[in-house]
Amino acid sequence: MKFNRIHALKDPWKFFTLVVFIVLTVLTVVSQLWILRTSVQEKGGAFTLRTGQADQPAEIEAETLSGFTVHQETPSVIALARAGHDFFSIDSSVPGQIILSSQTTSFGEPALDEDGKLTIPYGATGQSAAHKPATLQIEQKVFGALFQSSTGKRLQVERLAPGSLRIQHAPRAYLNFRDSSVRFGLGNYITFFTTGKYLDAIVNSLLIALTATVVAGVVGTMLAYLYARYKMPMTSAVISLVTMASVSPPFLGAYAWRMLLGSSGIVTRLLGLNWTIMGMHGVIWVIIWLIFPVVFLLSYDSFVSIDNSMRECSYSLGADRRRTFFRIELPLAIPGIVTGLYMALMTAFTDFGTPYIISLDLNTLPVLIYKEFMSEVGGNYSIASTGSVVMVLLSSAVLLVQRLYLAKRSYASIKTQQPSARTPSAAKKVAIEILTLTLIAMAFVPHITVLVTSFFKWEAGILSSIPTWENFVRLFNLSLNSIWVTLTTGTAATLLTFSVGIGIAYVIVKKRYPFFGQALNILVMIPYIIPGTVLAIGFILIFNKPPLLLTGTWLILVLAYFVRKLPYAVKSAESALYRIHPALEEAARSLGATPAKSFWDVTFPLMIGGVISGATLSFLQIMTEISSTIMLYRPPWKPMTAVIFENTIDAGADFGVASAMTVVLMVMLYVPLYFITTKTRKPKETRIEEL
Amino acid sequence: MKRILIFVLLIAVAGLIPLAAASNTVTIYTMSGPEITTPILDALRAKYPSITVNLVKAGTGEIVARLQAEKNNPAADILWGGDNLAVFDGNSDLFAAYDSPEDKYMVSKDPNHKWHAFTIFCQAILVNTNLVKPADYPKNAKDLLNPAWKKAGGVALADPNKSGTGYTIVSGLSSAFGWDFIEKLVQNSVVLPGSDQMFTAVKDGELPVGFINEDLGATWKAQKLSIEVIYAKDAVTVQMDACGLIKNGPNPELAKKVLDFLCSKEAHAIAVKVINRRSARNDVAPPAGLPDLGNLNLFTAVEPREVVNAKFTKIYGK
Repeated sequence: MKFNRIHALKDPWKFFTLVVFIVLTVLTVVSQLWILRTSVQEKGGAFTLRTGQADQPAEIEAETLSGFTVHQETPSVIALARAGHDFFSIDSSVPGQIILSSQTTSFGEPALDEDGKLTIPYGATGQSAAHKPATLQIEQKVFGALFQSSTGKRLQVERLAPGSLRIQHAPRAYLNFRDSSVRFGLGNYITFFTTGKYLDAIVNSLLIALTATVVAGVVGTMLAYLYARYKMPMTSAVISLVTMASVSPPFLGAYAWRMLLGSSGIVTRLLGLNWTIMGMHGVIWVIIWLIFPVVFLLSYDSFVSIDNSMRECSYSLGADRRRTFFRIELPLAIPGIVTGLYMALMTAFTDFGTPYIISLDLNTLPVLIYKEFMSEVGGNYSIASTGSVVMVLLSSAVLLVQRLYLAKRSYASIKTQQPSARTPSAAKKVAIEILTLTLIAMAFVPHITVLVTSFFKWEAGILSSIPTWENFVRLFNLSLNSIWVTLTTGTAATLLTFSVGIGIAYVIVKKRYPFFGQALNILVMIPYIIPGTVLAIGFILIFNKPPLLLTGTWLILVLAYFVRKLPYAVKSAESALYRIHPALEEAARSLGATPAKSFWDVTFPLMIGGVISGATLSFLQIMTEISSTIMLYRPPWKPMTAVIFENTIDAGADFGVASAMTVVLMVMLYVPLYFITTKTRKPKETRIEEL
Repeated sequence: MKRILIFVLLIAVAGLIPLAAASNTVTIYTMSGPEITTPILDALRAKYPSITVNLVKAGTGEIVARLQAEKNNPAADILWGGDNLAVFDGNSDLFAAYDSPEDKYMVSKDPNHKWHAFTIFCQAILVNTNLVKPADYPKNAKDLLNPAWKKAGGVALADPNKSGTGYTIVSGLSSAFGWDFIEKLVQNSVVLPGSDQMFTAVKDGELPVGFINEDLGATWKAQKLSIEVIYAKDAVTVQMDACGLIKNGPNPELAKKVLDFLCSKEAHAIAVKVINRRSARNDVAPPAGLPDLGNLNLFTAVEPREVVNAKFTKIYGK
């Protein structure tokens, strides 16, 4: 397909395809490649030299040594090598000075900056290819008496010969050496897979995700089956409630469990128990209730859409109910259930808030990436990136398994009859009702706890029994801006996601351009396997410098939300489009309408109904998005989730504001949710999770 | 339909514009909690009603990572809080020198004028009184090595890699008793990824004992939480926190005005009165109820951050 100008002008869809293709490539592929690149980068090396007092020789603090290897030549001379090549030696025989000398390296003219930091360019001498030209930075730190710091005299440097430097320092100074050169290698991966805490994080993440998914899967499909097979009162109310429960209060939802079931939680004290929810068991418990709704909703749809004649055949051929369930109904419902389980698994695997709150020192991959990235001493981008790559690989593997499994099991049947739901016996009915109430109550524990606590006074992070409006008053005085930021970025991202999503779906379904159509189809699915934390790191890495200096703007938040929700938008628009017969648009074209006009006047109005409910669900997820938000936001663009995060982690935290903010957020989410569940004709028909 | 869609998009975009930072706005990054920031910023607003303050609160690690990431395009004008040695001297390239007229009143000042002293505070031992009987309260830091604590959950200890307070505790105690002591302490501890987590774990009764900044301890004690604050006889660690201007911050002139206010006698008096912090100013008396520093065995951090981090990681990390 040639994208020459005349063609592009004639068919605006080609232009659109090209633009979207480029933008998506930058946002997803390039940002991920950047992470990959960072993960194979190793810093040149660093160490800290402790200089002695009077005539004691200097010593290297062995724990700080990285990248270099060292051997002591004489008590006062330390020789350093890197990657098997001799680099330079440090002679500290004269008090108050060190002499760097090298046979293989020539030092350039050293420079001292205003902070007293020394920068020495160096390069290899003669034929030696020990290293590429780079710089060595030396910084002095002196610890004096109480509250006195760095009062020592500044570093002074003198170049004695190309391979020799004299550096004068303060007595008892620490000299931090840092090499700027960068090597490429698999060192970070070796570190990652040989260090206990990183391996623990992988194991913990998998264990949590799998256990929670299995439990939620059993509970969710069981309830779904019961509601699909039996005539239960208030079925639609139950479905609406579960849909509501699928939107859970970010961060504080997990904290609510801690308030109830922690060591000195409300329920724990009330029952005089000696236990705590803190730990892996608690993380799994909380995540179960987070993911149970999506399993229920998708399995319910699958069970309901089974053609009833299948069951009748099974019965008439002599199978009992049990056999029919396991041989006919479950296999037919499997695609929907597996999709639900897959989504649940991914949510559990990428959840950052729950393990962060419901544990003291439990490492999971998202928590680990966050901690490594947000480290105080410069931040370990390399290890954070390595962890990100590991996470993306694991989630790709899960997606692959899901795809392969589903590919072997596609069942198609023409649905002739609605399944006839049986009337349950009275006892069964009560049992189902009790089960429903318990499950829904569990799923709503965080919502209710947050709602109740928002009307009580908080003192020093502890809930008092004094009712008050003050939390909301303070919220509206101090953080009104955040509500505005969340609403505008959320709306902008949703609109962007869906206008582009519709366009992409249209190109994929109706235009079917060679190469670009296929490429787009793959491209939009990439964000599906990128966890929020990882996406955020990729964005920070590529948008941190001109010409694409976007960090700290509202635009970066909108773009992150846009990319993360695009797969949902495209898929929901695609399924809406497949139901529109191409003849309709062709008719418009044959009557003289331009391609754009025929799309706007014919196709768009037909598909919009299905798209709106998909958009609303995306909107809900965008508004409660934490994992990328907390890494990307910057004032004054501080969304509500960031306010909640800040006010939840702090020891002297204003939990009042956090819970009031959460209540406002939930209200903002439930209003549109109410409209789509009641106003759209058939919400389940357009549920977008199905891929 | 098309017109409606464009209209909604326009509204959404227009809505984003008025939020852009105005010229009378100062952005402050802080690791201090609202118990410290709210009363002082209230006083600032009363004095300069035209100044709008954006406050971002996060852990020390998050803040420094953010400042490093934003170096080319800083969003903050001021960093308020953070150890003068670990945060300010350790990242001196992030801060702008400023000769504040208030510096001359401080017990200590930065020869490079990057940081400006704010308060001085000790790390006391924090005990949860629901979990520990008075007879078992530790009296010395060395008592924390008792294996009984590990059985009861462990000592709450903040990772120096993630927390400035953790850095002060670990480096201060290592200077008092050597790194062997730290090794044994780590074996008896649960290492938490931040000082907030360390304080909260004991307050919430997840762990029986840990460390706390004395000002927050006094505040919690006054609010009658089930905690006890104990100054160890053998060693108490102490640190100073500071504030400083961010290099190339968006609003440097206004930031100087705000910084001078944060260093003023008025702000320090609030810190003393409202939050039980010891002022770093010579002309502000220490808060009533806190022990005299002269009566404590004080230890400060004695090694650079990267050295303490590396040694701690060696002990804990594998």
